[in-house]
Amino acid sequence: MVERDDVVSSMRRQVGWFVILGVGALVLVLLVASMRSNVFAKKFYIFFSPPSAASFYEGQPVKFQGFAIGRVDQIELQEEGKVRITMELIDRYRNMLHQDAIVRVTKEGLIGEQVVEVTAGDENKPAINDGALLGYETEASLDQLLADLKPAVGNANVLLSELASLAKWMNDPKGDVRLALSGVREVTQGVRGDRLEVMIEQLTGTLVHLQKFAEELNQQQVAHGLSSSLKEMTAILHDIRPFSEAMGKEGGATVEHVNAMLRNLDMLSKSLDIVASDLSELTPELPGLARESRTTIEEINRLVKNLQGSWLIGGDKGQGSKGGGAVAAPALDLRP
Amino acid sequence: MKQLVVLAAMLMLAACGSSGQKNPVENPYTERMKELSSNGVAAMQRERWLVAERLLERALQAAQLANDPDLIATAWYNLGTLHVSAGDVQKGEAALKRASGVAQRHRLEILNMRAKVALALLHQRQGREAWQPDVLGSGYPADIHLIAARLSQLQLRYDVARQEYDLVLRNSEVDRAAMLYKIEAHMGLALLAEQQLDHETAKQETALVSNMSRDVGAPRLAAHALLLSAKLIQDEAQKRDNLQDALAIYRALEDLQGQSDTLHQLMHLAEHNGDHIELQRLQEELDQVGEHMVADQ
Repeated sequence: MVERDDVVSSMRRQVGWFVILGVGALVLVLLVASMRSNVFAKKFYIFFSPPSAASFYEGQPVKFQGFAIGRVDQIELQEEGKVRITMELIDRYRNMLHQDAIVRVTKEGLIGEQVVEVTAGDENKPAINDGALLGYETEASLDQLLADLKPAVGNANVLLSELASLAKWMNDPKGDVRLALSGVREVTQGVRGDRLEVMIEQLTGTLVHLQKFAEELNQQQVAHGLSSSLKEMTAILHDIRPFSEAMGKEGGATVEHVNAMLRNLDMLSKSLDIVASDLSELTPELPGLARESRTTIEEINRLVKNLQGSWLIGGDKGQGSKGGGAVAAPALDLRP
Repeated sequence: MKQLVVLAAMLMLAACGSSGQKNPVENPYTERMKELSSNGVAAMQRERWLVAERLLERALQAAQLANDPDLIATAWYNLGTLHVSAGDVQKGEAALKRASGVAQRHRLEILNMRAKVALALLHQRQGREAWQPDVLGSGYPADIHLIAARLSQLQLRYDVARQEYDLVLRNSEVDRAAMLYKIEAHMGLALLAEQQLDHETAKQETALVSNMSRDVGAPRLAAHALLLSAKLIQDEAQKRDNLQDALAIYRALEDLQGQSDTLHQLMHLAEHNGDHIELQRLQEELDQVGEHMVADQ
């Protein structure tokens, strides 16, 4: 009987230890988890009022310098129609946030989750108070970026129309250029003809660059309008190529006709330069685009210079080597 | 002795021969400066101030790398003109002074005169004491005569101004830049005639400005001419048409000052005719333009 009691009490002890250890492990896990997730950390609350609650949700992480310091606690639409968002932040970070800190929404990477971020503010100012209302700043979104791209797209469209008129002028069968080409058959083979070959090669290179430029834009799925404009531009430049090859075969175009083409090409290069400046300013996250267009411009400029120096126009050195650079028109303000 | 004379003569001939040859090697910085300046000036013509500033600053860097005083002075002048055109007078004055300094140091007479008259015009506009040049010789480029003409006009030295404008019109070049200078000279002469109450001449000059602007594509000058002619003509219907046309151009150019000036004239006309509904509409538009002007400042 005593023996049986001993066995039972031993089993009870073992079960007891098993339960105690199990509960203890569970408590320990809960403790570690809660300490890690700051459940028991002291909190404070601050507010901000964005124009819309569209980018926010309750429980959304709030970050400071990339570290989670709290979460969005409550989103309310107040009586006067304003959005008020309450953030629950861990108190130990309070001293790092100063009174002119601001709140903004950023993305973790290009397609990552939207995160609420708090800035540090001016370090010389006192730490933020519990219940403070912070300012809200909108960071540029892809939509805004595309809206900003509109001027660049507009420029590309202007450029396109300029190119269209250039191609039309060159390809008109009754136009001055075609008539001049068909009428003049005084082939001067061997006289600096190598320069013309270089010119045609460069023009081909330009076309390839423009094609790459347009394709790259399309791959980035950004600014479809600009991409299609540039594609059309490439097609127009393809039209110029047979013309330049014809010049190579037939030679002897008159000075004024080729000079007119040079003026058009020069105008094109200026327009391209302005478009490239827009792109480099507005699309820093689209690497390579501005560089590609810049290369294109440089090639076109070289082409113009080679044309100016080619035997086709009886030229020697380009006009660019004369004088001391373009001079800006005076700022007169002749307003009545 | 004879051999020495022959040797000296041969050396002199060789020197003459070599002086006529061009340097076959192009300085890449010089070429780059010219290219950037040309693009910068083109951007200025389109009133793309930020793009122009970036291009002209790079042109200045290229000029400095080319170590060519002529190019450096030109680059500073272009930057100065850009800042003045874009409304940053302080930066403009500083750049023009740099241009003048470089040109003086290297005795570049034309560049020095260009910077000097541009600075004087700036000072005159600010109500400061400004240099008063006599009529410049005909050897200067048209743009310098144009600045000198405008300067003299603002200084109320009408005879000098008229002679300078005439020198601009005598320029035989026919490219677009030369044509634009001529249109500006006609506009200057129109304003001059108006100041001297010679309304007939002023009307003739504004008509010339309108026609030439249409040919060359100078919308701002065309709008100025329409605005001035509206002041000069008596016929109310034609006056209103001119003002509406000017307003449309200023709107397209987003020229707030031009819109404001034109709206004031249209309001004056509506008030004179007792058209209170039109007056109220114009006042509302003027208020909106005023708000934009304040926001821009």
